[in-house]
Amino acid sequence: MVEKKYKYQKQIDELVAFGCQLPTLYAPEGMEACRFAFSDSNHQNHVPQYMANPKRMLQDVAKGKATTSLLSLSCFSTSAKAESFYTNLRKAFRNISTSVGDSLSEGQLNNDDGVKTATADNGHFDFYEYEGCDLNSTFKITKNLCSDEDNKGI
Amino acid sequence: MKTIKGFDIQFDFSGFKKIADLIYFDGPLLSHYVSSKGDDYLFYWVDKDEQDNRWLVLRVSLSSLQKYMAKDMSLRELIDSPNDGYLYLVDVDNDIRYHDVKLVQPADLPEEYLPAADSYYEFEPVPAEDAEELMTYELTIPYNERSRFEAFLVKIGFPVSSLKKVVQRAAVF
Repeated sequence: MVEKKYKYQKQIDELVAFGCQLPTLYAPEGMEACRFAFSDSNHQNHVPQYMANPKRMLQDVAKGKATTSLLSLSCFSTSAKAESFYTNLRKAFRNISTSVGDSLSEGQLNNDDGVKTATADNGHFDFYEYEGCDLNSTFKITKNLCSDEDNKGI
Repeated sequence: MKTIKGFDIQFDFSGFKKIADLIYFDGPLLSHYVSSKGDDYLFYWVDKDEQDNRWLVLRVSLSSLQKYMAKDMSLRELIDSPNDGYLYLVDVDNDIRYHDVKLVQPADLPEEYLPAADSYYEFEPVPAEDAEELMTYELTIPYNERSRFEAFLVKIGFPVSSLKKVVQRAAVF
């Protein structure tokens, strides 16, 4: 069986060479998942932190604090858990929408898309994309998290 | 980002050591640091643009921090009443350079830089990897035992500078 390559294999290899390790990963088995996203077209969605800001990866490597987690995508197992987490974030940080997004996006994660970490009690897990995966084509924005307006169906 | 009223100052953050990220999502949002003098500080993220992330830095007492972690105090209450009566506002660029440090009063902050009134702790802290050696332990020493306690610490070779800090805290609690 041919081993699948990660979408950011080169960067993962670089971090592994610096002593980082990938966590234990599992097949998503077609699970439904949610992510925070930006509703406006000025922001790119579904891009890991280190890919959005490559300098951050270099700085973390220099400080010995790099993690492969920031080459993955933060997801939640249910919309209720994602919304609950976002509500608490927003209570603490009024500007959080400028950093993590203002909307909830939902979609299905198939085994061809990548692999996931174990799901935490709050529903959060990291999703490591395989080469060719593009959640922009499979995840859709379903709700504005900064108002009570439900955008489902738009 | 917004222009905030305050006094421009120089402040050296280089001696700060991270104890834990108290709120983390794709990066730290609220972090607990200890200064080289042993004071506890919170770094609270408030804003960003293409060049900088903006943080509020405030000195806090351990008792306040413990109350916040125990959900007995909101983040808003912590920020509204910093130990020094003021906070530091600092912009950190993509090269982790701290610049435009200002002393600001809580009352001069825009509402969007302040947590909600019910911003109680609902997260899991992530200890810094090298934080173990920096862990702080609280002891309550009866006042009439203070001298004996000091003598004991000296006997076991506890550093005098740390001793002062410990005794000060022991007197407070």
